Amino acid sequence: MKLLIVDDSKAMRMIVKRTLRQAGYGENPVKEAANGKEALEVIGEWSPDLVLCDWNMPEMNGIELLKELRAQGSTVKFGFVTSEGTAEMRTLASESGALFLINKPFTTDTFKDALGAIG
Amino acid sequence: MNSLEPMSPWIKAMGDATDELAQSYLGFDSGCQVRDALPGMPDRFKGAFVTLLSADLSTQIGIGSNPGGCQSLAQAMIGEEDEELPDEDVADVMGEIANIVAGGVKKRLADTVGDLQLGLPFVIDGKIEAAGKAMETAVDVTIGPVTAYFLILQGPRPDREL
Repeated sequence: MKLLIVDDSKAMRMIVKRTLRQAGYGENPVKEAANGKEALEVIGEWSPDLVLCDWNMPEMNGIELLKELRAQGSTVKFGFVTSEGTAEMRTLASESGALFLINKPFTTDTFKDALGAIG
Repeated sequence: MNSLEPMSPWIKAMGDATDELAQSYLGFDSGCQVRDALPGMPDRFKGAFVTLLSADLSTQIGIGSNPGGCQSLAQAMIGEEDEELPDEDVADVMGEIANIVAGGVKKRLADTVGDLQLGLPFVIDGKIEAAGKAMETAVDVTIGPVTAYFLILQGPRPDREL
């Protein structure tokens, strides 16, 4: 499973990668993007199997990215990893096609549960 | 001397959110301890702010420390305790810490303050001066072994003022 991590914080991308390793996904190919626009380019060129995406980012935020992907016909699996997680955001994420929303700070078990559920 | 009382729900929410962060990403078992009100804004702030907008108020919450403290927090977050990190990486970590704490504050104040819209974090290294109508609160805290402080600036939303 090819994984794309989208977050404007380099530190958070490192933490997500570290958590993926701890959750048993250390051998999976991983690429990174710093915002939704960069992610669109990487997705077009690399076709990841799962996008792990922050919500609040400059240029293009996470929900805008997800909506753009679906508008383009992409069915790439998509999950949010974000510092916010209100009921309204979870509903919007789900209705827009996200499989899960992981709140920061997260644990390795949270990643195992979320990624394990999508196979 | 500034008082903690008017902003106590915000300080408690920041403390609890920072405590959660300290014990997870930063690996500090002692978490975050909120200590005393500072007599005013520190002469120099090095850290990051996030703006939270409610129906009528704009609240900016900041987390900062001295340069050495910011370096220690960044090293703990990235997991490179023995390596001096460049300023760019330290700024990135301080922004992300503020972002995560702001998300935790939003969650914790949802029932009392209502929905809060979060802005993107912005990093500052310099003197903070609150705008005319803002209420300002500065609090001494420890995050693990690091001495730090919370700053809270609150005033009317600029777009809602008459």
